[in-house]
Amino acid sequence: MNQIQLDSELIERVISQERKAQFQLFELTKRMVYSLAFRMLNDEELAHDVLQDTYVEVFQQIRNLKHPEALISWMKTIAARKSIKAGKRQFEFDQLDQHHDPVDNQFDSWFDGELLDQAIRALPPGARAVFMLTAVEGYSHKEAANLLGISDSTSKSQLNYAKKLLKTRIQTLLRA
Amino acid sequence: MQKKDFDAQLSKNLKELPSYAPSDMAWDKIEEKLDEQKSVFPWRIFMIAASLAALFLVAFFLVKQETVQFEPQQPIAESIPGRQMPESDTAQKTKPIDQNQILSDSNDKESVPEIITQSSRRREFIPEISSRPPILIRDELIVKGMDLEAREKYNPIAETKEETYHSVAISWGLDKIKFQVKTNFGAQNPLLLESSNTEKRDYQARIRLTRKK
Repeated sequence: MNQIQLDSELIERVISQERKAQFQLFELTKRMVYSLAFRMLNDEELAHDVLQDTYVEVFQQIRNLKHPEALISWMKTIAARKSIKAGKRQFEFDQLDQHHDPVDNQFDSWFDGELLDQAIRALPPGARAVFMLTAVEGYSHKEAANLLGISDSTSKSQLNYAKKLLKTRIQTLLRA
Repeated sequence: MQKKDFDAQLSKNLKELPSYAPSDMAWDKIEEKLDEQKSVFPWRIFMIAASLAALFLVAFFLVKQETVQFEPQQPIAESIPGRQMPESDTAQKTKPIDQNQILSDSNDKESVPEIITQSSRRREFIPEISSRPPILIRDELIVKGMDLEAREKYNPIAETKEETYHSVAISWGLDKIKFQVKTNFGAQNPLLLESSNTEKRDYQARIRLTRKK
């Protein structure tokens, strides 16, 4: 996803609760927030709820943000937390063998982002959440484990599991 | 071969994932929620502020509305110049009225009643003239919780060989008719008296009896 660059003047106007500036920020970042929520939850209605709650909290708490330049990552964290809270019931983590085999990197086909997206959405909820936080959003295993309420080792094994499933799923989609 | 490496493809395509757009109504709903937050009266803050203000007001009025404290050592009757000291029970009978007259005479904020020892506090207080009838100690007061005859503290049959003379000191609070009757005769432990009228027991008295030699 392309990095979003925000003007410091816009951020200041948002901090001063200017509605027009808030709308501008929304327009610039709505895809980022919604995509994260939708991929985490795989549900449009829940994703919309998370989107609304995220922006309401962002606009209310932005004046407390110590580093305005970190606004985007802060918004993503809020969205991730709200997504986890909304999908708490569905996030179950299958018991996996801790001594996992490394993913075989050999892959005889090409795939693109669209195919990958389809495969991600087909992942089990728990594995998908870990994959989204670590592989897509760049959180460390420790941070992801903290957000999801699981251990570091569970996070690592779930990521490995997700990658294996993705590979299998992409191969299936390519053959279809 | 390198290009077909799964991890490499994965890393590359993760940056090129398609993005999803929310519905067009999304901003309207966000705006609604923001306006709701604005228009909600901060009841919690208001209630806390109102409670604190009420506490301060109550504390202020409690401090301001002081009850008159009389020094128990000073016999009040003796401190009134030019007034006759009654020698019988009628002393207690008439005393409340006299006190009321004193209080009505001292209606002016500036004047200081003679019987008051803490005059500086008294100036701020304008007592109400009591309209209640005088209290007859013999007829209207009973000893609270004590059967004197059973405890052998009082024998109404026994006759005293000698007449005894006593001085009486009476003090009471002005917000309630609660007064102490101190005499120089009697027992060590004070006897608590209360109104014999069980319906309105709004006053009490204590009698400490010490025999005058």
